[in-house]
Amino acid sequence: MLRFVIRRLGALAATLLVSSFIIYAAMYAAPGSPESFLVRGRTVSPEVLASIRVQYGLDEPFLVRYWHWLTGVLSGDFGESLATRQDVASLLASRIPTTLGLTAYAALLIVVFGVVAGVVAGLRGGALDTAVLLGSSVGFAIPTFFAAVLLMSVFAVTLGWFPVFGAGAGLSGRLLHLTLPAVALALPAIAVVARITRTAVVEERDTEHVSVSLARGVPWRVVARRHIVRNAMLPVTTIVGVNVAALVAGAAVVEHAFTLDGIGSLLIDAVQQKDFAVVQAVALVLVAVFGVVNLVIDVLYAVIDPRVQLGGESA
Amino acid sequence: MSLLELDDIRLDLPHRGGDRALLRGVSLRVAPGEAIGLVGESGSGKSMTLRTVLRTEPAGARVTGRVLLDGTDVRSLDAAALRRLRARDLAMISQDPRAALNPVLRVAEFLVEGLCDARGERRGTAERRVRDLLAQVGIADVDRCMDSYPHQLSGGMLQRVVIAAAVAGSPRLLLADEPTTALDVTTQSEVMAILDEQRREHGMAMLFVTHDLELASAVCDRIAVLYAGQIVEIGTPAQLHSAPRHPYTRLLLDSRPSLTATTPTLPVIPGRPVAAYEVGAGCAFATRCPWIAPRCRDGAVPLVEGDGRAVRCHRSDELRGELVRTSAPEVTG
Repeated sequence: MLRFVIRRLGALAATLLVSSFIIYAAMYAAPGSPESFLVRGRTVSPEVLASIRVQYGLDEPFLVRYWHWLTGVLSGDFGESLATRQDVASLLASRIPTTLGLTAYAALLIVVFGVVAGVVAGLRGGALDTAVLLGSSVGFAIPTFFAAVLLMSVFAVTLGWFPVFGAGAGLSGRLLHLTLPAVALALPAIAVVARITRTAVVEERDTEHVSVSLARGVPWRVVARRHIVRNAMLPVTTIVGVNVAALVAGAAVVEHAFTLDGIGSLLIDAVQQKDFAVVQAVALVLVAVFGVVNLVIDVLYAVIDPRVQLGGESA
Repeated sequence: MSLLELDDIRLDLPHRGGDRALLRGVSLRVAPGEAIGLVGESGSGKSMTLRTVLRTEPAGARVTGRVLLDGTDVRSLDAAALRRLRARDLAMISQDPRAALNPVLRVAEFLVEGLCDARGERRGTAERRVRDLLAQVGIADVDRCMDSYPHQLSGGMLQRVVIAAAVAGSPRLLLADEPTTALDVTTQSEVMAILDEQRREHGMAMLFVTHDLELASAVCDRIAVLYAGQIVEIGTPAQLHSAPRHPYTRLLLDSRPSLTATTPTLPVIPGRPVAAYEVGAGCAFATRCPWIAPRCRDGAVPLVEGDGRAVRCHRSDELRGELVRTSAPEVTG
């Protein structure tokens, strides 16, 4: 297990290195240059432009600039924001807690509501099953930004139960402020997870080992827990993992809609302002989060299913 | 007094364009400690008969008739009473042990579950008993076996585990549905011997489903031959082998290649097996029977008892001499 984790961490580092290069190269190739942002549309002489390029190191060859940036990142220096002249690392540090809270909240909602709804629908069947199927279709069909607007207008504006925007202060204030954004963010994933869970539970119900256990006189609730739900968690874990990893990227839309100061809204602003250093840093963080979540899922999978051999698997 | 009594069991499955009969009146008595073989081709209803005893027939099936276990009507029990009956008095051994065990639970969990969760026994005593039984069914390293997951054991080992689990609760009746069909030929006889030994040692009755008449003859006290959802003949292995009274039994015996005599071609029963729902008026075997007479085609044929055996054939008395097998091999049982 430990060897597997170490090897996977090594693979994650390699992935980050490759993606850092791709991210840096993509920004380099993107239309619009940083110096044109810096002069903000003013007409400047070629001499001034040249001095700006020297000042920001823009006159150096691509690989040299990449190397400078990479060594900086490795020592925790993500550079400086072109727009605000702030240190990118501290900018990220101030924004990450909001996004982390939002995605953790949404992940909790996915696990609790998605898995529970799917298990109940699969075990009980009947009207409950139909309700979950219908609800999941609706939940999956609603775009996140629309869900955000809808939730705001119903629960924040009309009913006044939740604040409209901001991240709030203190633990309860934060939870209150993050509830609507987390629901909007989690909704499509809850729908997907509920549906996959339901299918997995229904499939497990029909397996022979379940009917064998029942035929041995093992009580239904024990069979449901130990044989049906537990085995159904194998595919569910994968789906939950993929959806939770995708939350960090999806957070951008929700943070923008609810004006939360997370890294998602930071990314949107930075892209609009061609704030290269910030975009690069945020993109790298997203890749890292994706990798870490997937690693956690793989380890979980091995814990749930003894047939998965971590040692023999190539990372 | 019989331990198990099946009384005119009929089973219909809903199907597009009307119900389909799978069992057309199966009646059978099993004495305590007696082993009865249910033999027949695929679709003859032998497994379905077993499932009506355990009440694990397919969803939507309509079953009529009575299943009495020690005088208790199994078919009319409520869910709680049925669960207690399954935990206490019945045990099932199915064809594929790999499908019978949950792949993500250890063998120990499977073994103990039938005692602790089903019967409310204490974990410690349950574990001691299944350990003893594992040793009895020929598992050398009991500790390793208990700690293994199903995918780490061979099919033969797993079926031993299933047999140990089945006898662990000392049930009155074992229901074995082709317990060796999914195994290698070399392990088949071993597993069968273990099953037979355990059954005798614990004094359990058994309903043994197989398509192999020879195998049934080796381990059963009596054999019921099924065809198209009905029993066509019941008798001891010796009776059936030397003097079958039903043409189908005779042909079934002949279609089995003999070890002593070499035949140019394997004898085959003409025609194809008839499903229970396809049977019209008259004898179900009429379409394939070489000894058919005009009266075989009309009117249901009753199962007639006599000489400690029973047969469902209009012409069994006339054909008695003709059906005798001259080269019948020696059969013990």
